[in-house]
Amino acid sequence: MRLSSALRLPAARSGQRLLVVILLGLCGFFCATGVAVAGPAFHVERVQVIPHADAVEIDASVRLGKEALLRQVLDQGQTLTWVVEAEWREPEPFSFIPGIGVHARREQRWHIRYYPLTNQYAIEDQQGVLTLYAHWSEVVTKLTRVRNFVLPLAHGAARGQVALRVYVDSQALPLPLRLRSLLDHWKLESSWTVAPLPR
Amino acid sequence: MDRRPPSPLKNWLRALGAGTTEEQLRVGPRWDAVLLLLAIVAFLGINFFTSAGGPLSHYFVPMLVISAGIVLFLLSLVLISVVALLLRLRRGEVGSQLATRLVVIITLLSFLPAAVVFGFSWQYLNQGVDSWFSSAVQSALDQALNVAKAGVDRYRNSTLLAAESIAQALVGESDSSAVITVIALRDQYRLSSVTLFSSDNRIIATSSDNLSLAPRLPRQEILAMEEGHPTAAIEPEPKGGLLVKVLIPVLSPHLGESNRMLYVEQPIPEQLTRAAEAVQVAYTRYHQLMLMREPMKTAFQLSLAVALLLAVLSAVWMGLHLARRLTAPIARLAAGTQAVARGEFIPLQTVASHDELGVLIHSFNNMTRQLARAKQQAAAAQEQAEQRRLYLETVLGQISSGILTFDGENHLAEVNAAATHILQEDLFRGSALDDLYDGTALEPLWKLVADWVEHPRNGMQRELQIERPDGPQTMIVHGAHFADDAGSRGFVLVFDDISTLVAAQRSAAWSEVARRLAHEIKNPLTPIQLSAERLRRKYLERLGDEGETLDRATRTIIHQVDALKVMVDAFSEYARQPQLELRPLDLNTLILDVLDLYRGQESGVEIRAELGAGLPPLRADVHRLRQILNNLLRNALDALQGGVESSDGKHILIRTRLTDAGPTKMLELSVLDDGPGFPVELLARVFEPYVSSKVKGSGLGLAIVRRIVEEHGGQIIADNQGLQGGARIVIDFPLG
Repeated sequence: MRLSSALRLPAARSGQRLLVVILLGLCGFFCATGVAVAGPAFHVERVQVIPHADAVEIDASVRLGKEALLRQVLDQGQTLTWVVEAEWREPEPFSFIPGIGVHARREQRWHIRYYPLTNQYAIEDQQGVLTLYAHWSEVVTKLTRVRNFVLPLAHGAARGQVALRVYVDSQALPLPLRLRSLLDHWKLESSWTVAPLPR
Repeated sequence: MDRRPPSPLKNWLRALGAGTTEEQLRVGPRWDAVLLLLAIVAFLGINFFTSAGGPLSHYFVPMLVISAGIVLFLLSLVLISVVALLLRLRRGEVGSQLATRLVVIITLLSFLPAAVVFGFSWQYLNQGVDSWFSSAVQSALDQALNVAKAGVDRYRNSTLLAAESIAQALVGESDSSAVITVIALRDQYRLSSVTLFSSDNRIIATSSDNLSLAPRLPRQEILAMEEGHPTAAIEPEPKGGLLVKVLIPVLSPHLGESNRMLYVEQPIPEQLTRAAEAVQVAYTRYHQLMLMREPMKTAFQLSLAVALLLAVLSAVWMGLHLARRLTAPIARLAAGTQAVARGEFIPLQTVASHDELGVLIHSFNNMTRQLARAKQQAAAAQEQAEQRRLYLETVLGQISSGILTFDGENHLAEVNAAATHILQEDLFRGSALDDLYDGTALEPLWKLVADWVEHPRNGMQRELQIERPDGPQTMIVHGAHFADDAGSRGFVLVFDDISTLVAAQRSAAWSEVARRLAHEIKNPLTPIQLSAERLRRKYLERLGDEGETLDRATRTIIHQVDALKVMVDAFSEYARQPQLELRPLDLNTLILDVLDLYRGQESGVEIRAELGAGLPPLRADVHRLRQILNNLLRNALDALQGGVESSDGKHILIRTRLTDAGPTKMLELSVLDDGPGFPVELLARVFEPYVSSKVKGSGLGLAIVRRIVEEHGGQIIADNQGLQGGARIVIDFPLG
């Protein structure tokens, strides 16, 4: 069966049918490309949510899947922005659409850079506090541990779930690297890991 | 079928795709297309600025995605247009070849320069980016960094050595004396800050360049220190510059007493720091560039490719559109000429253009209007001619004269119904004059015509006789030449059957003769007869036996005079003027009355009557009809008495019936006998006076019968289709 007839297209104009086939082919190509670029570099694991009065405290572990690439980029002098982001979600209609059902969000950013003069890695928090690490393993240890991440919640919130993810902010990269970060190999991010909100 | 109008969006897309819309009839540019092109150009400009870095660089990726979308959109438009153009080309539409040529030329003119620029730019980009990097630069930077590292390390090491010396000097000293030692040795080694603190982080002694009362404690360094070994680290200061930090344990000479810690800070000189940081920045930037080397090329190439695609596709699409716009009026003109060729003189839609195409369409419309007017006039003239021809045909069909027309090549062109009737032959249009010689009775006619055609004169008028089985047919023939539309000379023949006229003339002549004879003869007959009778009375008795001669002579005179009287009466009857007393009568009753007179006679002839039932009354003169019946019955009896008797006797049959003869009903009266019939040579003339097969008789009986029938508007025929081949007389009287 021909594609145009299978799609119940009018058989009046062969030119239009040809165009539809071409457009469908292009859509298929882009969809296939989109599927191919999927696959997170980091994984958030063992998420623990400790409830407090008006907040939850989150602890988690991060598995760095592309540690070598991360180090390579840093050693080449590129400063990276490491982001830990948490959301409090409640189930709502159409909550599968990103942003729907999210009632609280907080992110924390660290800038990571490398000093070739002293062979040190530095992690600077949002308050400008710089922490130096003489060894890469110390940096990895720092990045793979999410400790005492506080997510403020509305008063009385006792249901829903907490989602956590980490990523390297591609928007903070220079223009050429931003393009490359769209590709699977350079996609330095994790998917959302969800944990229920304890009652 | 109900056709819904297309949506504005669809119409717009089709118009952009150079599809078939009403808008294509425009000659001028589409402003929405121009705006779209301007938008693409503006977009390319924005794309350039976003790709050049700066605050707009955040929008580079979205702009690139939008660019890809626009490229796809333009590609779709171009594909639609190309497919539409190919279909037009395949259908052989006028203007499609010109449009194809235009598109190919515009595509080449736009693509080739763009491809050259693209190739050069591609090459330049690659070489330009690659030229930023070289092993020499990298090596130099590495060495510079090593030098900087060495300089910094030298300070670190000297600071560490100084710290170790101070720590050695403090071994065994009490806390109170350690203060003096720390201050003295700091000055001696020119260190920035020296602090001695206990294992519980209690400051024992401190000395510093600044006046801070609370010296910083090296908490991080303590944590990093492994198993009591001294550590020395270089850290950047928040205010800039590099700081050497050394942490070293001061061993206690007493067992069980915890070690004290000596913490030394020494900033690296500003000049060295600035130089080392400059080297570090250069080194970092160089490696950053190396990291971005390929991505940068990719980004530039993508931008270049998108710009090229947008430019080329826009140019191609514009070319397609322009070609469509330029060739549309030509196609319309071609369609107009084809419509004119089909006879449809419809003016084209005028365009608001004053260029050559506008003038051409205007001229074409003028021509079309003039052609339409000429066609209308021609149609009117043709209709008039057709009406005239129909009128002529009707007239020719209705007139009693036969008409034949021949064209310049002597082929029969027209023949009317009267001609076929008169000539008693079907003539076919297109027959050649020579082919009409078929050895039939009409040969004298064709011979006459051929002779006239071969020896043309102005006109021809001849009277000729055609021998027919039922007697001669007299015709008068007129001929005249004419010139037809093609200029060739044809001729027309007009002829009339004047046999009836000739017979009527003959009858009138006979009537006149009979009238004169009756007048001249009848008057002396009575004195002759009276004189003969007187002679007879006076001298017959006197002469006695001698009077036999007189007796015979006078008797003969008297008898012959009686015979002459009868003859003269017949002449009188034949020549009398018609004076009819027409009244409705029942023909069957009249026949029965007449037959009663004949049934008493011993003639040996059986007279039968077959009378149609329910006949309508006939408006006629009863005396004349009785005369007809008597004459016919007398003729039949005379014929039967002279003939041979058949085995079943002699018979006369009188028959009446109602017949249809065209639009009027007729009452038919037939008298049939089984006698010898009419002689064939006399059959055509039996109704003429003095034409008779009988020895006795005046020969006026049937002539009188025909005269009476004609006076009643009827017709009479005679043939030998009576009983057993005997004579038959058939009379038709019109009813109403």
